[in-house]
Amino acid sequence: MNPICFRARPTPLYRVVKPLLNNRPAAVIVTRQPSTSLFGTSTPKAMAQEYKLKGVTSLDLKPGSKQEVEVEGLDTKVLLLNDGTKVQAVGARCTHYGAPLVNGILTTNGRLTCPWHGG
Amino acid sequence: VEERVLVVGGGSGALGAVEGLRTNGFQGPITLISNEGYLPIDRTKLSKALMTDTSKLQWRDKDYFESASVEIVDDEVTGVDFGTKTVATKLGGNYAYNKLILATGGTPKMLPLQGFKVLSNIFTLRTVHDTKQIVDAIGDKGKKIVVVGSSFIGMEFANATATDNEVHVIGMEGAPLERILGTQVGAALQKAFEGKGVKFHMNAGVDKAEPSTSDPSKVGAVLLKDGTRLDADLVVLGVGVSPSTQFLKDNTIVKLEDDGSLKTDENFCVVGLKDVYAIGDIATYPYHGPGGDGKYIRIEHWNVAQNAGRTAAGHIVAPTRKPAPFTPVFWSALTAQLRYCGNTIGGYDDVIIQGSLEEGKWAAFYTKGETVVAVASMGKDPVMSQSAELMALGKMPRKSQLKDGLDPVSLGPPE
Repeated sequence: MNPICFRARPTPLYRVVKPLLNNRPAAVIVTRQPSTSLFGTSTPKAMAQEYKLKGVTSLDLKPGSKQEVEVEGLDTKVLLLNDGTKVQAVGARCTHYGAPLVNGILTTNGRLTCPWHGG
Repeated sequence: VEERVLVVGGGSGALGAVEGLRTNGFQGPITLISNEGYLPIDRTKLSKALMTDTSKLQWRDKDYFESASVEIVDDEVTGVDFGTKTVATKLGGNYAYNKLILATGGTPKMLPLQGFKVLSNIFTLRTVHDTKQIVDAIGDKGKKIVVVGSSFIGMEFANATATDNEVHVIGMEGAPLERILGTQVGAALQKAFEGKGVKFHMNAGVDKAEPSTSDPSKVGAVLLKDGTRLDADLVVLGVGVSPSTQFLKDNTIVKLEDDGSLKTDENFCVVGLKDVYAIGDIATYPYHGPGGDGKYIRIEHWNVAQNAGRTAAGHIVAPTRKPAPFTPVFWSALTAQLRYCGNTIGGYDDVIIQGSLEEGKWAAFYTKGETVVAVASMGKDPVMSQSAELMALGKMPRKSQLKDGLDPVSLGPPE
């Protein structure tokens, strides 16, 4: 599937579950959401899996702030962002042309737009 | 009561409408009628990259529309009965609707000049079918190509073909894209194109097209009013589009605007009609962006059509909710990537340029008084996206601040 850019609050592909701030070495873990149909008609096929974020020890992002991080055990990056209510993780690249969303614009109320085409 | 939505057209606006409906929880049946012969595509890739593979151009595959319970009909709408709320098609179909979204897009204009209607190898560029014909005519490259029109379609096509062909661009303006980007930026872009070998004939008028001597059914040359003769293996016309509303021309209920478009309100509801929306190239809507003052405007851009589709969808699902304002955005491949947001419908009286036009790293702020009404940029991401968000929030910096060198991106997350 070739998804389109959406001018909307980003759908979290990943969910930040455990900021382990008191342990050393500290780590932030995300779960990858099982794939479901956009319209919620199909049932999840897999359970969520947990992944560690490389080099992330805290989640002190301000509303509108974002940070690109690597995921341990996956050849991929995620974008951590504060959407104004919570910190969450989304895919690091725009689904349109693959622009790095860390260079995009995130408003303090969680609207993320692409740096290339404003989608 | 289950509402039935009928979408006419299969472009960016139609897709925005369909997805807007389903993501907002609309449960009723949706039917989309398109005459293009393929699923909704990213049309921007046609002129920018001459792509012809519909499987790569389409936004979504067949399964996606099936899973979203969107019925796709390959047919052409020939008329609308607004009284009985039905739509008639070329293949004899009759489709009922509760809500109708008209998204039929634009039809490229032809030149009403000698030779242009009868000679082959003269193309417009709108659909995958057009692009396939053009790519076939270019064949193994090294062709003499004449592009009529120095606005976006013509310039993007020239950009895509200049490396391997001899490309001439004919424009009526003093500099390419001058009408949208101004003389200064237009001249800088012309220089960059000339660096790629493109030849320009500006302030020029076309006189006629002449047949080829080897095959008189094909074009062989384009003649300008000043007598200049440009040999051509093929000609591409980028001389604008007209709203595709032929099917409403003789309708007794709706009156088209002078340009053939439909006048709408902020929700893209057609003025004077109930339960009918018009989006994209065929919609003339009140613009409330900076400098807009609610002036009626028709914008032929992908992003505007898509946002209009989402706005219409949002209104169908929640009629009392206020529409979310969006800033018009477009981009173009013009030796490098150009970004643009805002609109100059209300005019502009100055252009503030940050960076260097010569080095291809610049941002241009089009201003009216102290208000920035539009922003163009190259090599300066994310200045445009930041400006688009600031404009939508009414927080774009003033002209004097930008003149003093303020970078809008330095303002941080828009709030």
